[in-house]
Amino acid sequence: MGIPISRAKLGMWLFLGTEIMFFTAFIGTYIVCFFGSPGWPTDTRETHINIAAGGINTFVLILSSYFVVVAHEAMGLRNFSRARQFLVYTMVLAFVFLGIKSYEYNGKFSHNILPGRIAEDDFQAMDNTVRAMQKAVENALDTLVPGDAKPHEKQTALNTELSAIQKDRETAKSEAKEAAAKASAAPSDADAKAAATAKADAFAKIADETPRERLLRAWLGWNEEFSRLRTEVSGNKLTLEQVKSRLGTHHNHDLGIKSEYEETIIVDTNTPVLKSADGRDLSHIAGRLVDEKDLAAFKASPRQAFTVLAHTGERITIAADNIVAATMPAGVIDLAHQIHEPFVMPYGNLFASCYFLMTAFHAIHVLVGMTLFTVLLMQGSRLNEKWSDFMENAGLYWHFVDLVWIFLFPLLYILPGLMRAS
Amino acid sequence: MSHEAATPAAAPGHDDHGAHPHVNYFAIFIALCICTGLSILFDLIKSESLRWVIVFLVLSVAVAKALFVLTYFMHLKFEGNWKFIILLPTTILAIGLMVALTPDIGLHYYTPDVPQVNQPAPVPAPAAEHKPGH
Repeated sequence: MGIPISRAKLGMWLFLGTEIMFFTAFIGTYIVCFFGSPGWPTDTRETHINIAAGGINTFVLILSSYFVVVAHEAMGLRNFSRARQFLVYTMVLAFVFLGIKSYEYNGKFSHNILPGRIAEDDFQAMDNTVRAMQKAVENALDTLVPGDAKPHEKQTALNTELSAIQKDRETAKSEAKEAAAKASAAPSDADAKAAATAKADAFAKIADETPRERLLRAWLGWNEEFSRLRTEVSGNKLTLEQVKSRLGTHHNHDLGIKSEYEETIIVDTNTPVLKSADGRDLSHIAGRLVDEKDLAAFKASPRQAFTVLAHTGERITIAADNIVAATMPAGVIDLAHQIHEPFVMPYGNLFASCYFLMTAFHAIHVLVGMTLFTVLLMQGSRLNEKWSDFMENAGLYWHFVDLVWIFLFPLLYILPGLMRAS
Repeated sequence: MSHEAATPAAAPGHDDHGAHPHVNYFAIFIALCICTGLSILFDLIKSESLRWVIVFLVLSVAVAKALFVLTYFMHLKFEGNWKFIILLPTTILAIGLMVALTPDIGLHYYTPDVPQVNQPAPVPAPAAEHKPGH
């Protein structure tokens, strides 16, 4: 054996040699894929790459590397309490690193930046939207009708509940009428009159639309709209742009009357619900107010007539009588906001694979390094010079983890953005 | 065979420290911080003509940081020539992998024919559909 170092260190360095090949395999493949894929996603708004988070994590790892080196030095000087102190600092920084990492991961998970989930053409993007709508509608149904029943059973239950509420209201209305009649028919008896009036008021209250009923109706509206959109998408009747503009109309709160289907959709608390009073289908109207003035007028007096631009290019004036405008109460379900605008990201899946492969393996290495430090810290006051080799190897490993991140940070976070226009 | 390797069990660890001259680790840490700041600074420069210069600078900074860590934190400066025996083959193999992959994936000798690249062509809308007025 001609190599003048301890076996433990030689073993560590041989292992780090294989680790270098392990990570450069990923990094090298990523670089080659990057240059081999015209249109690789580089826009950080699309990829949800967070440069600030990556930069902070770089600093965190460098600082932790410094602490490890101080701890190692303290071990050499037999100052074991100082070594323990700096190992604790290192552990804290490792947790900070993983915390920031999980924050970044969460941003990607919530936007479906995941291998195999990213749409690379228009049809896949529309498919994703349909799936998201299905999920949103079913989740909302689950909150309205809890339980393990199947969706169609729940929908039946919801309809039953709604018609029961309506029936109750009809009963309440007629009883309120009767009570009111009684109240006016017995003008002499003051007590009886007061009682009858109170009863009439109580019934009148019931006769109003209840919040529960509004929720159920809102869900039915969403379900109807989304089903219609789903059917049209699966029938290949819409382009991605049309789907976007259809969804966009629901996203835009200020323009309450904008889309073709507003009459079935309740957008949010501030938005008027547009209906044709006689239940007429307004779907031929490419609901878009002609100008801001019209919108202001409509907002000021929702019952005024207004002009919309039909998608045929024709201007249609809708008479006030045909419009029912109302303000939705709080607590209404808003499903439009659960659906991200559909997007197409060529090579997005390859990008996500590369990103997660590299950063996740790096995070696993962070966990392994933390395990090594935990072993050292578990010695407590028994930590002595016998652990020097262990400390040195743990340190080497940790510096390697830092080294990998030193390359991952520019390659994943900074350079793609710089090369965007090329 | 050196005395260190001959008695690794008898004197674990402490022999290495005796061999290392003192390093001002804090200065190295500051240098690494400055490098990180520089790479972020380069990212903020939005210059079309200097793009490749900036890419080169960012990569150089990364290499400089890696060298700082390897040389001082990992003590390679004070190690014998065995470090080259271990690190050179792995480096060559790592570069070899990229070279091997490039012709198939990185270069396009033929016109690329993958669905993503053909995507920009708009999907023909059925005649009955009208785009909403804008």
